Amino acid sequence: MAKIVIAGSGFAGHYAAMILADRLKGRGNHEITVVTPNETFNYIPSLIWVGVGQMPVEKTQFKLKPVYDKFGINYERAFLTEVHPDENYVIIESYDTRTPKRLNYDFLLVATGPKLNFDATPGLGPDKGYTYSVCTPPHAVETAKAYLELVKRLEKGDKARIVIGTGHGGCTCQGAGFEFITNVHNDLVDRGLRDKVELIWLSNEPKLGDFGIDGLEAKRGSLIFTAEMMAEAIFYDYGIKYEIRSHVHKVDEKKIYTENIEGEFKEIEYDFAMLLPPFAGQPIKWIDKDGNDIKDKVCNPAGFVKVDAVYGKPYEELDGPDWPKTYQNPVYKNIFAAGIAFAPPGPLSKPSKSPNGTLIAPAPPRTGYTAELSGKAAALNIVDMIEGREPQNTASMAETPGLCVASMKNGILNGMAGTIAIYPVARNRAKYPEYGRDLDLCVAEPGKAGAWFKLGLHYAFLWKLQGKPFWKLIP
Amino acid sequence: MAQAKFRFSDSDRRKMHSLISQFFRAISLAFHFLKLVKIAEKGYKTH
Repeated sequence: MAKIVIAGSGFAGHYAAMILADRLKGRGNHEITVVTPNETFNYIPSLIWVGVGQMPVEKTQFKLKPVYDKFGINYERAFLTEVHPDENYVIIESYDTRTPKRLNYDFLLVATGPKLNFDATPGLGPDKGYTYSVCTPPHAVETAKAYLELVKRLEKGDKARIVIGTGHGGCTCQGAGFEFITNVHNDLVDRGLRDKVELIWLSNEPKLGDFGIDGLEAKRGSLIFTAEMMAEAIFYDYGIKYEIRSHVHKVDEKKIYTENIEGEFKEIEYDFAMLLPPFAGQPIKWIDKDGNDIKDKVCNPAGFVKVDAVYGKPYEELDGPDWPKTYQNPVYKNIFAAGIAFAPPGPLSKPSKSPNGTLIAPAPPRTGYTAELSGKAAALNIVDMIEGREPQNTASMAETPGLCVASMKNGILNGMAGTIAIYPVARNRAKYPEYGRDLDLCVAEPGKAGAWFKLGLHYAFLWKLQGKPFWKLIP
Repeated sequence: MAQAKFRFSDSDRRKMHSLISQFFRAISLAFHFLKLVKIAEKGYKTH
């Protein structure tokens, strides 16, 4: 009998738990336990609509316990606080009482997602700062409340400047910010208030449409159409101004203090700002059998768990084969990490430094479908090891596609979204020397079709992840 | 503050907003997504 502990209940952890329960059913008396502080699964991609007050947060969630009961998975509503990899146990703290508890494991999958590192920029974030976020359900609800209050002021005749984007030079998930700013634009148009608002995109991207994935190119007839062209055209049509290649040093009640790649310091006044935070690994202690802190051995400096990637190469030398395949930790072979929790070998977008030494380097996104793929690979590799095989399942970001639909407006008849498909996510010049990607398989196009996909994905994912009938047929 | 340079053509805009054109695009993109999903799953060997 094998004991498997999965830390995290997002796309990677939750889906991995379902896959494991399904594959191990009738193949021995194995025990799967999910440790998560969350009571619900949160479909983060739809929080954009929650943030503009167009969708109740409950529509993006479902309770985890009934799903785990159905699959025979143990559910611990708790925080993972310590891992003792030499002795194969973890310490968890109950969400309600903070009582510590020991859980033994034979296999551990770390899929905790990120710590939202608002502290990296003074004044950032809704808890200790002045800006809003759409990264968690409570944040999105709070953002909607503040946004709708601003709308009331606009209706009374006020004018406002709204700044949306990233709150630090090391942020990722610029796509979420892009979705939010375009949804805000369309919401204001529908309310007849767009002329009262100056909308500004503030981002650490080296170019528009970079999205932390080094942009993308797609064939359009005989032409190469890029995500940069798509974002530029949309921003022109929507009248959105932008400041890119920028780090945010601090935020106060009235201004955002930035520095760009040329080393220019700027102060941007704002009335409402939604700025995404940088991500860090969850604050988990890694302790060896002698009680020593071994976090450096297991995790990268940001706290993400090292897996089977080639670490330490400079950006220029990093290529497809350096990206992890099996998501197995190289030191502790019974530990895997998936989703945002695994340490990438480096960035996808080109990192830069300002003349003042400020690093402006978008981190690689590994959320949503990519997280699910890595979670499934890790789960199947645990099955391999339980059954005495070497891990043979792979989901390298240099061999798998990225499928992303960037909502710009929700709606069946009048919706709009950018449909983005890239293959592979991480440029693989060893396989595709010219662009690092197969441009015949890449897509970047805005239209109503994307809006239908976005809505379809919302319902399909929530159906699948609740293990409802035919869930296994949904990719 | 920078302003965007690239513009959509009128024909691009018409296509983006046309229900009929987008209906056929959706079908085509759905098949494209399924093709990519198949590629993604090539790495899974354990069944």
